[in-house]
Amino acid sequence: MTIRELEPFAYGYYNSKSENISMRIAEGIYTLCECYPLTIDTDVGLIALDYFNGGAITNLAVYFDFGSGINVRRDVFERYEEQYPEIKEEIETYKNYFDKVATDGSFRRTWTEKESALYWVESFSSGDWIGHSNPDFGKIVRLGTSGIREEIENCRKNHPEKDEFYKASLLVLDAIDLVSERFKVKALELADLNDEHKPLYLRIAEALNTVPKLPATDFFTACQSFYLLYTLDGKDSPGCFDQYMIDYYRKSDSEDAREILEKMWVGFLKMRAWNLCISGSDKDWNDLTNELTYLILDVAEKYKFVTPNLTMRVHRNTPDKLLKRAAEVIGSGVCMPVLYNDEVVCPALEALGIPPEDSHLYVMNGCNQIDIFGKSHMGLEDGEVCLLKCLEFALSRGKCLVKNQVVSIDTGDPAEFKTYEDLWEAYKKQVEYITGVCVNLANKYQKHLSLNAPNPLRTMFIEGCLEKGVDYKAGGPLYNHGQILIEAMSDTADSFACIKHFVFETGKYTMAQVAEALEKNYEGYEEMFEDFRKYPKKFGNDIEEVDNIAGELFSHFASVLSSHTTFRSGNTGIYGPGMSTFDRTGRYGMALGASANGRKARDITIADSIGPVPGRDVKGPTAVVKSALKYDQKLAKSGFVLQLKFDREMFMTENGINGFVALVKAYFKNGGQQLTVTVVNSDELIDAQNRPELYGHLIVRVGGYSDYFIYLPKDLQDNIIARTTHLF
Amino acid sequence: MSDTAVVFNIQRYCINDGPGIRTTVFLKGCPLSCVWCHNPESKNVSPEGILRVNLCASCGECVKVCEADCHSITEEGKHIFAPVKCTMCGECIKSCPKNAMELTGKEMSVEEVMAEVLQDKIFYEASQGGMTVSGGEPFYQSEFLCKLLKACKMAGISTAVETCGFVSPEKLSKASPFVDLFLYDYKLTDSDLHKKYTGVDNELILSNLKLLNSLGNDVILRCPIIPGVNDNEEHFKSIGALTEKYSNILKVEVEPYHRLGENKYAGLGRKAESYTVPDQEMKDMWLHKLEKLCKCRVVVN
Repeated sequence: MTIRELEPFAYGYYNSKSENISMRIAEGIYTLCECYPLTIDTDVGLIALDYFNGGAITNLAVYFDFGSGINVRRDVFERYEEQYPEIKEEIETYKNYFDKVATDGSFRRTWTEKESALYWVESFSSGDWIGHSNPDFGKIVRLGTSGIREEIENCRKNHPEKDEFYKASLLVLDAIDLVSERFKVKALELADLNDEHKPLYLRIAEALNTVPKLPATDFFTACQSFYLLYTLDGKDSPGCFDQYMIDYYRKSDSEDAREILEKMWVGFLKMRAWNLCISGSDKDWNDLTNELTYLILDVAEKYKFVTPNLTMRVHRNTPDKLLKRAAEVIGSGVCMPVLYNDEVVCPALEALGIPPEDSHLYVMNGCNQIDIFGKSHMGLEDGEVCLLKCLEFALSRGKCLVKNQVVSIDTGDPAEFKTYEDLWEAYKKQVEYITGVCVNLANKYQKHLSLNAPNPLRTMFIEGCLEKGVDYKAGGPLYNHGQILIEAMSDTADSFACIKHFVFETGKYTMAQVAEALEKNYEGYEEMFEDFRKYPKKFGNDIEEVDNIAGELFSHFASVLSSHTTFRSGNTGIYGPGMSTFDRTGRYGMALGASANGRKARDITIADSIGPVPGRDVKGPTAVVKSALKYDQKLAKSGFVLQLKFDREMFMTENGINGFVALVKAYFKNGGQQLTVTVVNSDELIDAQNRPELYGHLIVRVGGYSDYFIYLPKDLQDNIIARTTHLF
Repeated sequence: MSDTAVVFNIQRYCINDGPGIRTTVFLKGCPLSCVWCHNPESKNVSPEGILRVNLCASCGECVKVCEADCHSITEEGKHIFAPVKCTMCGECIKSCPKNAMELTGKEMSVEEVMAEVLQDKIFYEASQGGMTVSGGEPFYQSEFLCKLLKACKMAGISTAVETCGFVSPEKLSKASPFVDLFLYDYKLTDSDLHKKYTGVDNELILSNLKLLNSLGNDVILRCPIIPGVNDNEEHFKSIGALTEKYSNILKVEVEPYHRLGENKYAGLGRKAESYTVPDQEMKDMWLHKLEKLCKCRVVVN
């Protein structure tokens, strides 16, 4: 056994010390393509260099992740040392070397004590893992590696000073050609050994005579090119698949194409693919729905997989037929597609200076982040800020009530707040401070990754990079804005509403009492707890007073963000807000002290994304939708997730489907950005909790993605059950 | 009383009470006493207490505060609510830690009801929906009903009224111009049985149906079907005959018996009659039969 066979990426990187960082990563990828053992999964029928082995973690000790860059697993190195004593020294050298150059995890060690303290109380998050973007996978289908090579050579002429940059990408193209050649030989070998799959192997070998070197000619060759690049790149979001694949689909037999797509869907599940986006509009609002759009919905309905995250873009010219079909698929238990509204997203992007012809190319990546397909690097998780924690600080002079430790700035003694505005001012200062810390670290992280983990592979597939000779993480793409997510906004609005009413309107309690009650987790303040808990003016019930507070919180946060710019844009592109809690209600809830909406410390029942606090909405889905419309949603630059939960029965009848479609139309017409729907009822969920063996199929959507309910942690299960079920 | 009415629920996002997305306003009070009624709290016009059986922990707090002996906890730990002498003092509601005691029925003005109805206007517009008034029997508080319907029309909101038809023809005619759609109950063909199961005979109901035809009001005929009571050929034929006779009947909606109201009877201290809940096969058979007999579309809700 040699280290080159064991750790091809590390070998290539290690043995190119004289080269620049892009070249070294390209060398790593090249050696990987040269040495990595090849298999062809006949269930999928497409070639893939999936060195992640289907999961999120690879068997390799050193690997390159599109998000966090160079990752190192000590445990694998330690295993090697036992397994291969003959090369122990070499392994030791590699282990020590990559410990130093790893980009994953090392960043947080550079933080100040203050920054770390704020991070550990969950007031913000950044520098964790960033990276989703939407490379144009259609490009390799359209041009082949030969076409891209030509493009690189043309760009190279304009930037002789950036020769290393272009050489790195050319080396990656060599690697792709090399591994496809290896796959061809492998397929022919396998064809001789296996009668059952011989036709498939031969078909693959034949396809590889042309692709990925040359442009694809039909759906099969297009999918081979796509899938190889997609897996080698790290399996991010396929993007607007129905758009860049339709021409090839039309050149193929439709039954054959369906079978290819179905098998690819199996592949998507095995490797947990991210976001695939269908339909949409062009800049003149022409509808972009095609046959492949419907086929993808059919396949999603048939297999009911949790991945990819399926997103559908909706706009003024979306055919009713498509919306109804989407409703059926959602109602079949898939809980997808997630619906996005072009009428809100496109203008929001245009406000950032993105022209309509590009704003209409938006797609989702990861869970709910917005990117311009093949042109931007802005839909990544730059950071998060928890608004309820900011209010906690405003009511405690910067103290975390759970850790009983001062971690934030002192914004004045709450007992001295004479008016509601005084409280509001203190809160605003906390938000501004925390956001400043969050964004500053996000920018440092962007710089860290751009210097230490450039990506010569993905860089070729995002417009602007080759033209400028700049990596996609360093500002190469056309658009490089940022997105920071908000947590616990409705909880914060409900808390403000309670304080406003009980302190500044009725005068039942003083600010000092409220601050003390929260600090003591309502001990000795049981009546106040009940008053706050039962106060009916809670977000999600279409009550203007509290909904307007929520709207103000959001607009304020958006304006704070807009004064910050991203490192990767050279400080020209601003940050914008989004809201999707994903599975993190537990994490944030556990770290929050008692709050003034009648919630005790560490209670994890906090709001999911822009929705109401679970159990606090009692007026049904139209009221929730109306409350959500109080947000100026065009200020959102990332997914602004509204999750509604319906009984599955709702989708079994014509009235149910029509009602749902009308609900979506009304929400979108009046300024809603996105809608996620889960179909299930709480009895079913409770039963599933008790008898998981009977509910292996049960899928729920959790913020940004779908997962099998029975595998979720108990606290998250409880949170999902607690969300109001709209049964009518 | 005419400017206000006792309302026991306003339900938004109703999709089975007429076209589109609707807000249904439930008025309290009904002249009929259908044994299968699933909204027993709608029978009396005045507000009353109701125990939400599912929520009750049988802790007995209400027993301690009630001065009229309405609450008791049995030896098996079951909470019995028998509001014979209830004075509507509201103490039990306040005392309940589980929010299991509720007051059903609230006096509301036309303006107050309209404020809630208007909240979902964007959804009516997206779905050709509107407001439905149900009950109870909406005409039991008919002056209020007419004012509410007029207010809706003024606001550009489409209206529907669900009625049992046991209404004075004058009141019906007066409301008629402000109603876009009647959801008209038709329960039993045999007048004696009608009296037995609902407390009144069906002559007025049938003549009012004719009246609505002459007034040109659109009607959806709503037929609760209770196994063993009215799931017979004769009744089905008569439903079919009505659709032949009256061209204003746009659709027949079968409403199969269900038990959703059962807990509410217990919660009001009353006894529920129990019938067989039809299975899908039975419902399909009803649909099949009625489709053959009726001139218009038939659906099972």
